[in-house]
Amino acid sequence: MATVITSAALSPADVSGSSIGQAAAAGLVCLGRAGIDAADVDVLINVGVYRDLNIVEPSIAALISKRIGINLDYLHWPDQRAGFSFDLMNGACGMLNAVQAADALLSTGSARRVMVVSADTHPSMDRSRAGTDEFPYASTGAALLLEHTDDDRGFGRVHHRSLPGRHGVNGYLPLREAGPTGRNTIVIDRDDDVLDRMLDLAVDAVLATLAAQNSGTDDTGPVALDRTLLITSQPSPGFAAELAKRLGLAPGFAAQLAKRLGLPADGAVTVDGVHGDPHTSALVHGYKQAQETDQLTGHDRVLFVAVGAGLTSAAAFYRLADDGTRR
Amino acid sequence: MNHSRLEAIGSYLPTTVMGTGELLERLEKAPTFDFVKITGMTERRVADDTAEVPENSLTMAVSAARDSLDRSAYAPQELDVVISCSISRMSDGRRLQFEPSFAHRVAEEIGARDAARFDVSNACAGMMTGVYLLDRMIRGGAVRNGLVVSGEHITPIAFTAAREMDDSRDPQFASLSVGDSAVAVVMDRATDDRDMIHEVELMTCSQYSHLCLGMPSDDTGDIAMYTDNKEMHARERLSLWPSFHSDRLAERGSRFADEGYDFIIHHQVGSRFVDLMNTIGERSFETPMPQSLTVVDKLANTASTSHYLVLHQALAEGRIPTGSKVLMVPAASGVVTGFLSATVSSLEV
Repeated sequence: MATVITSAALSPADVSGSSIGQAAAAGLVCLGRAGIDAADVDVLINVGVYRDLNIVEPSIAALISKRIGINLDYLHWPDQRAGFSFDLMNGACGMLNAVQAADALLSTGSARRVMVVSADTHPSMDRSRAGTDEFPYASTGAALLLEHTDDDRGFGRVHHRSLPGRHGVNGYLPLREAGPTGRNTIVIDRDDDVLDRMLDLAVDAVLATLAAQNSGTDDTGPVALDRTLLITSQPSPGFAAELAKRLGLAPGFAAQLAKRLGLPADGAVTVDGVHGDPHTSALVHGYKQAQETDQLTGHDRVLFVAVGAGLTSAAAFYRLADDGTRR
Repeated sequence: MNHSRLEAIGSYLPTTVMGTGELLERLEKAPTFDFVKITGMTERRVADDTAEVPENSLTMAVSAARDSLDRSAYAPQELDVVISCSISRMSDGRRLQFEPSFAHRVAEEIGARDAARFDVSNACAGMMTGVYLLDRMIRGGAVRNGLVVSGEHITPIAFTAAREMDDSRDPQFASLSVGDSAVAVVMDRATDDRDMIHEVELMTCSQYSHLCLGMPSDDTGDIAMYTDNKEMHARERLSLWPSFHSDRLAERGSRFADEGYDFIIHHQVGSRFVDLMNTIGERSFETPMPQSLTVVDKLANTASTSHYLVLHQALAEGRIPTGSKVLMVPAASGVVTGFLSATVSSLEV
């Protein structure tokens, strides 16, 4: 039994700059694709970091659940099935932490379906302030529906690594300096060398994940990267391509390999059409783009890799269906 | 046996004590009122983030984590996961931090170098949510052990309320009830029934998620909380707990009275609230409530740490005999309710 993506969705482009609205919109599309109702979601996890008005209470997940219609009021709920929601935050790695949390909930029978949503926004909810030098993150959202199934698909173990020292990225609200403008203020400090350090950590994370798979400490068996599609966080537009290059999946390498195997040349997904770093939604953006552009075809697995502030990384293989079709 | 347990517990309390009279002296607009009578709170601890060694959500969380590890069989480098659950992620001179995760910073400070780390945010049910997740991760085999920690430098909302509120019916009234603290628990797999988390079940009724909002103030600045107390504490909201709890017990053919709970710990909203919850519980479950433990008087409402701070203080005072079965009932904005029951024997403070 493994945790499987049974539905994935992105927030529609015309949604407002509200992270709650974007995550809820993505969640509703995700439910529609899966053909299920809000009542069928047992747990909703929100992994978005930058939120409307810098709200810290309640969980943003509870506000998103209300928009989606999940467990509005247990006392007036027809089947007395309770829903639960909470925020899980770890920057760009949060989505994979949530996969790990969802796997624990699914494997212990605590939930049959877990929805993971993400969205980031400038706290002012002004879309023109997103994807800028001051606030590099895109105003966008995404949703994944996760379940356990008996087939061969699904996530392997999520592997984590962290680097001591400088955090690389610091996102915070300086309360004293902001004064009464705290609902519209956010500061993102990025070290000049952060992308290089993130790349180094990402390479380490991939090699460690690969080593764990090949040494049999993971239960999904040995795997090689040559039939693996890399879907990464996108701290810069060229991040995925650069990581692929360092891993020997560069266009030149991939093209040679692809020629021999009769496969498409691109070994890594670079998210297109998003203004800024899709941050906590990056992995779902990459996955959806790969689905829609048929980039999954010919690959046995996806390797999801996220690196973020800390620095921390998370990586996990995702075994695809044999016939190359995915939902 | 496939259960987790509370393996160790630790805490940190700021040394500065602020009496309720001193807090009420800060009211700038509102006429004073008998806050002690309404809440039973005579004092609270207040972190000093301007001290040479600053007290803030992060430094207090690190201190509580170290305190718990001092009593744990595990060294920091043996921890598989660190989960931080603060609402008030205050650090580095009144910065409200969004990334990196607080869990990362705590893990680095204590030397949990190999631990996975992430933050959980679920209002005052934060630590309960962290324990719920770690319980499932241990039971599911994803990790062997872990640390759940929360540091709450939450009193800035009380001072914002004192500056801004007009009277005792103001939406910021409940903000006066908070105190600062940090608590950490180490959890691992249960080895016998003397130390075991029997169950932890949580629910969010999202219809009411707008009733209590924490966010920066757009009036005088800093952080603030706005609560619709009347709606939040309406009888129907409060009866969500016994309804959910009795349904879950009924699924396995049990009733509240059959469970043998020795102690009950409610969220520390105030003495009246705790009494009301016990009254509602008694009526709904049709059985007397277990002995109720509180720290409302001296430590007030410490947000996400409150249930575990009560447990910690009761253990420190020798009030929990070996083999006691403790019931915790969260009540948080969201709104979140549920229950955790655990037998504690080896847990020492």
